[in-house]
Amino acid sequence: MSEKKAKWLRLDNSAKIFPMMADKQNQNLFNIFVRLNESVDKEVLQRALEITIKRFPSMNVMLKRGVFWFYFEEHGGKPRVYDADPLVMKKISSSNCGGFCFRISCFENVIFADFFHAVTDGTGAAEFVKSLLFTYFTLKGYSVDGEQKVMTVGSPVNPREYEDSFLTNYKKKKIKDLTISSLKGKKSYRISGIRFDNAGKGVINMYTPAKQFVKVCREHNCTVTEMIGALFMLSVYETKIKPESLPPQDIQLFVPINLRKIFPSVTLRNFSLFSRIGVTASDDMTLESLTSTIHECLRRDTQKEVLSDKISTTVYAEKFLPMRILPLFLKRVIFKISNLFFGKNKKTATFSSVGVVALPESFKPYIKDMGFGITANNACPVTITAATAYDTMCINFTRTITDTEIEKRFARYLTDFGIELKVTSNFWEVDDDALQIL
Amino acid sequence: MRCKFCNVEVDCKTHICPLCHEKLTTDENDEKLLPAFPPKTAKTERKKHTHFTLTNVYLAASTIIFLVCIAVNFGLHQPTKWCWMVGAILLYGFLTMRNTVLSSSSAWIKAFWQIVMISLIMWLAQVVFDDIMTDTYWLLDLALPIIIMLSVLTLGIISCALVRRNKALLYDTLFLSLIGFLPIIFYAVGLVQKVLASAICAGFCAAVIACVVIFARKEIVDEMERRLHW
Repeated sequence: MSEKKAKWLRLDNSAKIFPMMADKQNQNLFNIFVRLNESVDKEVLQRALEITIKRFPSMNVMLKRGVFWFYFEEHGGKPRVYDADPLVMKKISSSNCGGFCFRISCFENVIFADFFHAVTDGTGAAEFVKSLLFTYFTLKGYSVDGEQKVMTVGSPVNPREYEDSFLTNYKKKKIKDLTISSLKGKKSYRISGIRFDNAGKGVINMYTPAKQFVKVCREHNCTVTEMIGALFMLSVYETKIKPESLPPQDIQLFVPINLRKIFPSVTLRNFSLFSRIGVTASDDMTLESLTSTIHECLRRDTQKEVLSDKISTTVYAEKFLPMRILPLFLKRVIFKISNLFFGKNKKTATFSSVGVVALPESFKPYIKDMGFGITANNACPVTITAATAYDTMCINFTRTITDTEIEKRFARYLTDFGIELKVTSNFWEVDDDALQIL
Repeated sequence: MRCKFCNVEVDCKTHICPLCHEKLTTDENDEKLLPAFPPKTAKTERKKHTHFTLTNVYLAASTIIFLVCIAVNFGLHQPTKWCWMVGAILLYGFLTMRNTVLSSSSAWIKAFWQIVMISLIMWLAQVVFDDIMTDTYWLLDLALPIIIMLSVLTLGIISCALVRRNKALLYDTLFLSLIGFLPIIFYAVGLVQKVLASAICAGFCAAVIACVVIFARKEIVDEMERRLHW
């Protein structure tokens, strides 16, 4: 990283919106949680974090307000390892994270890594966590090897790791050729329920043997992503729409697409767009029809030309002169007002399928399992994420509502297929007294 | 532990099923299980439900003081309605706490809001005490330039003291100094009658800008580069 670049970084195209949409309680966060086979040594983890952060200059930053946009400034301090907060994915602020845009915390045998989406996406975060684990295991004296799957501390920093890949893959287009309509969503069913107080979130993790799940997917001639998406849609319909006898509703899933698989990029910053998968919920919905709809939507939205058009559109919006010269406080007001009027009811849930996290085999004796979670908010009360590490797939549900009907129904579908499920929860919906008495 | 209703295994230390909340059947291996998340503690709950924040206490106390002042002022049929001044000062205290003390905004924005708020209090004083203060031009002629100069001076001193730790303060001082030309602009458009204070204010701020540019040009260019996204 050149000296000039080390001092400050522009936010990437997709990150620019996240600080503007953040409010007192909500922030676009996601987390990675790793369960180890033994208790986490907090002091060693602290040392590992201090060492690892030096390898990731794009993470070693603090968010600052500019005149026109937010920007990142190099952080001079050391990140801390915190005791995990009972409040899952608590807002990351300068007061509770020392100015960093991520938070590493631990509890018993679990390491939690929460990230503000402005700084990176799931792929970048996974690389950081893998490197952190590698350093941690090394400091613990375990025999581990990166196996070309980990950005180890000694490896050289490629300047392309902190590039804005949206800009490098941007093709200038005329305004009439932009696909603005593809970015707009249409009104869809919003999951309702009694909300938790004070940004509380309920989390349920379902762990399942990946091989069993893949076998069931093969039997149904679909992919893991299509299967989970379809079962989730069915669960929403069965538990929320059908019992309330609502008129026909569109269930729309907001699915992030990792652009690194389609465009050449090694960036550790954000480089993902999204696909909207929508179906009109009715009794005619079957697993087969849903998987084929999801397959079709994903096939359509992951074509290189389509994504290239979307990149051009989003970068054009950033480069649009009135947008550039508008002071930041006015941009924030405009974004918040437009979100208030146009942003709500545009998705039923966010569903992120991370796929297989490439962990070195040498980590296997020390890691029990690993999962991802995305924060839920009032506009999108339920999020679902699926990630596989080694032979275990973790399906994470994060919600801002108290009832667990969707998760219950989803689990029932899986167990009916004969898939073994192990479930954990933070029991946020259960009173303390009830937990203690029981 | 298994939930016989959901047909799932529960992989964390608990006695109830995460899905259906029914009681679980346990076996001897369950002792080895750990909780998956930190438990909600009484401390967390207390923290979540507290209403006794500094801001709320201040707000409650100021409301009581203001109501008492209104009662006294109107109850005694006093011709000067000084209670509005008390209300304005209490409101100023609240806004200072919110937008200056507890805010994470830039120093120049905080200083700018201070100038605006103090000027408004001065204006209200002119309205409330119009029987004593007959000359209405003192506000723009004298008060505003002095408030701006004091703000720039304060920020300048803070910048000098903390320049090693926070170079951004120099940029803030520079930006705030630009406001120092406002009174002279007011004079040019006829809003100000006596030029002396406005001219001194403009001269003072020009001197501050010159000092900052001469002694900290590199820091200022760096800061402007990142803030303006050059």
